Amino acid sequence: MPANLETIETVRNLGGEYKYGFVTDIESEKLPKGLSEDTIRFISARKQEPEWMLQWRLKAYRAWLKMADKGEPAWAKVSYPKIDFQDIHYYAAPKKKTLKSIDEVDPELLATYEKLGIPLKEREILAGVAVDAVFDSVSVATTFKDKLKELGIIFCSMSEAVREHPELVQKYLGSVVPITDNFYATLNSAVFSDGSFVYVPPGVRCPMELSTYFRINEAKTGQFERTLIVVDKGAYVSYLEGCTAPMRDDNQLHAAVVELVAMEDAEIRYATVQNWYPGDKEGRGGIYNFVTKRGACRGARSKISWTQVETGSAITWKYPSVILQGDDSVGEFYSVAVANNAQQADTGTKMIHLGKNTKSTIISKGISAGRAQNTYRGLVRVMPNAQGARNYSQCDSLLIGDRCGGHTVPYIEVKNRSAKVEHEATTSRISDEQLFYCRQRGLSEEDAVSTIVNGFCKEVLQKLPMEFAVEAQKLLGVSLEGSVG
Amino acid sequence: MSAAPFVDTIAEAYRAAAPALPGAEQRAVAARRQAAMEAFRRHGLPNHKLESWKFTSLSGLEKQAWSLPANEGGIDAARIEAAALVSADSYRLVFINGRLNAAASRLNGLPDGATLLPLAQAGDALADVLAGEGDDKAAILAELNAALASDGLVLRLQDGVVLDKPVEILAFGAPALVNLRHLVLLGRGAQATIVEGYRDSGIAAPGWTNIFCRIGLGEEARLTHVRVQAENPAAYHAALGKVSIGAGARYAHVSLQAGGNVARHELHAEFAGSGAEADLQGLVLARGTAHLDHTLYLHHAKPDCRSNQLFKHVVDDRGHAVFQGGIRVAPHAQKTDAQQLSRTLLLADRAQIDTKPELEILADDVKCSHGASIGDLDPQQVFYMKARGIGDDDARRLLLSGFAYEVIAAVPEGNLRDKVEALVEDWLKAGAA
Repeated sequence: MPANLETIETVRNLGGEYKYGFVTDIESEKLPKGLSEDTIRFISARKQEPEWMLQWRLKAYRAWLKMADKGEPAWAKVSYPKIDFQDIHYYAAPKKKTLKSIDEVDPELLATYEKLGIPLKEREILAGVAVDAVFDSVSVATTFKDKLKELGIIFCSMSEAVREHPELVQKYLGSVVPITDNFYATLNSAVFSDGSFVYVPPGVRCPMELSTYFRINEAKTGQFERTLIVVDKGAYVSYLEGCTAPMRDDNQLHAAVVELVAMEDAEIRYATVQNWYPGDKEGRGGIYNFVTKRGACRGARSKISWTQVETGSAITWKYPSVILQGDDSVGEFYSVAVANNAQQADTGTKMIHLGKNTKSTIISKGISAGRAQNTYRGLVRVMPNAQGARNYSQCDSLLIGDRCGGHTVPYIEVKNRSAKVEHEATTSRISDEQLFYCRQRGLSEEDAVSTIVNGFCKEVLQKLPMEFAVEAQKLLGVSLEGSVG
Repeated sequence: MSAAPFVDTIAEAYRAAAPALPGAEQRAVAARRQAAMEAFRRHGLPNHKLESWKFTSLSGLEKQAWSLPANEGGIDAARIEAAALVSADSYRLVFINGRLNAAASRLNGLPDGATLLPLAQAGDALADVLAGEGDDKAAILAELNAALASDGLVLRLQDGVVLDKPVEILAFGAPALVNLRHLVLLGRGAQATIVEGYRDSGIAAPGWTNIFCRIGLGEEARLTHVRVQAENPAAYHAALGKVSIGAGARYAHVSLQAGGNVARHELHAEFAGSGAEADLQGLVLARGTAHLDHTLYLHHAKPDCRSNQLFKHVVDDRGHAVFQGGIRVAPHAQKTDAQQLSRTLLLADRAQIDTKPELEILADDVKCSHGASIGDLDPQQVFYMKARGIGDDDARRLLLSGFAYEVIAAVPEGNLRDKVEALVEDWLKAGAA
């Protein structure tokens, strides 16, 4: 398949240093730095939002101000200089916006996509992947819309959804992550720029993988993505999210919120490959990634599955969770988190069992190298009414080098006797025997490490859709470059 | 502040009792106690806002006024013998109302190089024994203990001294705030076995026992430390232990929690030298509304040490068990081998467990793992026994015995193990009745 070859070609280009360290020079419209009610009114007006949306944002902003008085959350095992929330641009958009066809897209932007490996022009051969490309904060191109429309599937930018489908947005936005959920989610609720909105009507199986490539481009622009995916009774969707960001020296704040809602018998698979700029070897620059991702299995027999490969960002603070409300619902979390050099990752999941016979699986693989700190922090909670709940968790850490740290902090709270909860965690390093075995067969040390690490992560990588799996494997190798020898 | 009246009643109790506390005549001791009391007044009781106290609340303590126990108190000899965990062949310190009962105690016949005293007779060493743990709210009960400690055990063994018989501490709860403070220091190559028993005095009124224990093991020393907490269902019990394990030394600890209303046993162990070993095991039997907490921090500060933790919980009725097990491997503590396992059986619908194993690993050449499992008895195992003619109750009890026995087996063989096993069996039988 040509699409595969293309993906492989793209991935091949990933080799060596971080390849996405370029800044596309497109005129962009940017709000001055700082955050106030006026900023929010401006964002809301720019996006031609209805009054209720503005009020919703303002409510979040006022709640955030109260939270800000108490300070940012400090419980995670990460350290970074204090963020000045007034020193951030809260809105940036490529200037040219109303596009009738792909030809109107800024050629420079298209070139950027080429480098990123999103061949918009050849989108039909892109292995059935429809791309809603987010460039900075405004969605500029959405593909395959017509085909999806025929099935009644809504796949558009959040701003568009606010205008076109207010009844759905009003009903579900903030229903999984309430606006006062946590510091960063509340900030996001106040200033969210854009993101994706997906609605799959009852009984429809989305025929292709939906995908959004996020890209932070404008220097010093906070990215506040907001994604909402609602899958109605008996429907199915698989969603891919992938990220790359240009190299620069200023820390960039990213506080996204992703909400998933699965009704009766619905299934959502959400896969992420996160490869934002991790900072240089001394830890300068790099993205601060404070993300709230949560899914609600509202209906009986619904299923939500998170798969993530986290290789980028200077700081990752991310806990994709599932609230298992419906009876017999299923939650899954498969994660690979790689931290090299001065990266810090504090990531994990929460599985909240409310319904009867709910099941959850957690497989987490943490890899630390250089001076990085990698923490798994997870919660499994079985509430009193969750008869027959079942959880299996496995958290493995791999340490490469003696200056890094791998930590595991699982919380397990069980209030029902019929629950069965199992947890295992191990920490180890790549053994000399393993390395020797590979070297003996002619692999270079770095290839050997890459091979062993890929084996360590296999259970998770297998869960990724094919397009991502290839890329993710390469990424692991690239991320760990220079960690041995 | 709502806590103010509570800390004030404690401070008042302290003022009233201070002149009669051991060492009151020594200026350094009095100043230390005063400072510790001030620290406690400043912080108040630890609460759920502190990460290490997330699952256990002592707020029930604030609902009543506490006094220190009256000095005199006696318990009938038969009751003491029944509560004792080691036979006549032991050194024994019996504490009633927070004071040594000399008549029931046995401190004679020690080998040369061994010192065994009640804290009240520690004399000039008292100021050292009361030394603080720092101004930390999470460990503030140790300060409260330093202010109010009325007695305790002081055991010192010089290099190479092997204690021929186990030392048993037998403490009976009182309907008051009892503070005992223990110090155990073993020289190079010294060996001892200590058994701590906190038992029901037969007085049903709620009491609060607050224990602090410091243990220092020299190079190649060996200490076996068995701890049994089986107070009455109204009792509050909080214990904090600090253990330092020297190079090549071995520390074996078994903790049984089978009583009390709210009981917490917190233990911080640190390897101070390489090649050392720690084996920590615990069995928790929670029934009624008992809230029983084990919180452990094991610090692998030195390379080439080995640790093993096994904690088992049987939770019935509306009982609530908590297990927090932290393992920290310091940078350069290579060749560390740290294993931890927590297993729980929930026997009733309202029974619950909160567990938080925590691995913090900063060295790469290590073998660390932890596991946790929670569930009811396996119906297949029960069925297997029923198919062989064993009744449902008996089958369940046999399985529970088997579950508990793995921990009991860590208690040194003989009379002590038999006693601990009998205690566990009685608990299990009481549930079946």
